[in-house]
Amino acid sequence: MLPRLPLSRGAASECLGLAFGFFAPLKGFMGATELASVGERMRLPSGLVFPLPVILDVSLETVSDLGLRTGGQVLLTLRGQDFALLTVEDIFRWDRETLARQVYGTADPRHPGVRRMLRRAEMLIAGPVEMLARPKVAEPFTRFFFTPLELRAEIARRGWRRVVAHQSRNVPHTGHEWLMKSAWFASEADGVLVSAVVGEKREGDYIDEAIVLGHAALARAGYLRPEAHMTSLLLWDMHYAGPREAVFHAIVRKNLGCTHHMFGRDHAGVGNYYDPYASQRIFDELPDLGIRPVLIQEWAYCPKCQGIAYQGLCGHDLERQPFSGSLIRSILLDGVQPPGLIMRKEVFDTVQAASAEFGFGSPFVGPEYLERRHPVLEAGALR
Amino acid sequence: MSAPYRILVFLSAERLEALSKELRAVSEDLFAGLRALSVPVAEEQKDRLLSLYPTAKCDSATTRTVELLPRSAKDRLFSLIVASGRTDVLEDFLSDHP
Repeated sequence: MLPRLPLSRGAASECLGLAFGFFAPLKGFMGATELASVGERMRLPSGLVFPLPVILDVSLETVSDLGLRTGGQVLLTLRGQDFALLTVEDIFRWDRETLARQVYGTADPRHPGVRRMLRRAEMLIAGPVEMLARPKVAEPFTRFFFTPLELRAEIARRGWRRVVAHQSRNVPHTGHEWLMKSAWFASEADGVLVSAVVGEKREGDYIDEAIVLGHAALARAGYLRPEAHMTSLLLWDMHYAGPREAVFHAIVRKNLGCTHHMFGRDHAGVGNYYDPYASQRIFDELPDLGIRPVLIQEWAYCPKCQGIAYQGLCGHDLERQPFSGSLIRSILLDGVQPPGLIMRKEVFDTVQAASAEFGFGSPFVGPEYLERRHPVLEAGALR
Repeated sequence: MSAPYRILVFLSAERLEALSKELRAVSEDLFAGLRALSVPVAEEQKDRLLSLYPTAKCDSATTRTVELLPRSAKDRLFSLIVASGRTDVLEDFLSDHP
């Protein structure tokens, strides 16, 4: 009888990422040598670039209680259901603060990624992971979930040769729409792949359903042709690791079949921890990752241009009215419908419908959503 | 000296209706069709606001606005604006929260 180790929601998402090839070339949770190499050099021991730790923490007590040992196997469970099998190659103690400094450039516990890392247990368990069955993805996400193999097949079916990834954790406003359009132009792409990050939620975030359905609404309403736009999911807890996470996103989207990746201002940043363009500059220091970064500045509303204008081209610096995701969330919080110029009516209507159906009446995460929402990921039926 | 930050109180149809002619005249047109009143925020007021509302956020890089205040706070600011006929009401608002 194998020892059973319950997984958190985030760890289950990472199992899926490892087992299905989202995080290739990584196939399992990192051991001590891999972790040291990634922390210090942003590379796996093989020399391949890999910027973030993918680790499974357990307490010393759990190691002892379950009799975990190198060479053994562990049944990983999700909410009591058999989920995946881990072959243990390494069990070791780790230095959370040192790794936080390496990955995030800070050990400040106010940084959300650092805070999460410092709360982890003192031991790590490493080794390759195998899913026991294809997991179930809840509605309304089912049609947006593709494994890398499935997504590559879908890209081929669509006849896309150049695909530019657009990472999102927001309901799209027209600034996002123009980021996608400009990335499409800049990369001469056949299609834009929206890769919506679905993971840990904090109060005040948009609900996942509004984000994913909002992106799909843009294509359904024809603002981006459905033949040139596709929405998909990435089950991942944002680390807010700024430049390192930008590189991670590039690697994941390459695995999904993208040839290009759009990076805007302050990609994967938080607060003032990173220079707003550090996530763009980091690619200058790296070898070819097999996916080309497309670096874009911001779009804003300009009353003189009478439309959405590109910061790098529009000369009306005093007149331009920048808008951010936070500003638009504030408009919605005030109970006001944003003008169509900054949020499409179809997207707004979709967000309202998602609030009613999935958000307990709000497009934003609240205590009820955190407590009662249907889990996105569940163990699949064993054959 | 103008305040470094501001809070935008966005005007729904109901809020617009409650405004005097004078306050309507000082409201701004944003993004081609959205009207808002701008409440000035000093540096130390911003800090007090953020400690009162931990989920609020100051966008110091892009818009220089304090965002994500709860609806109840915006409603209270709006009431203070309507009652006083001016938009620099943040100190009155904060004095309600010692």
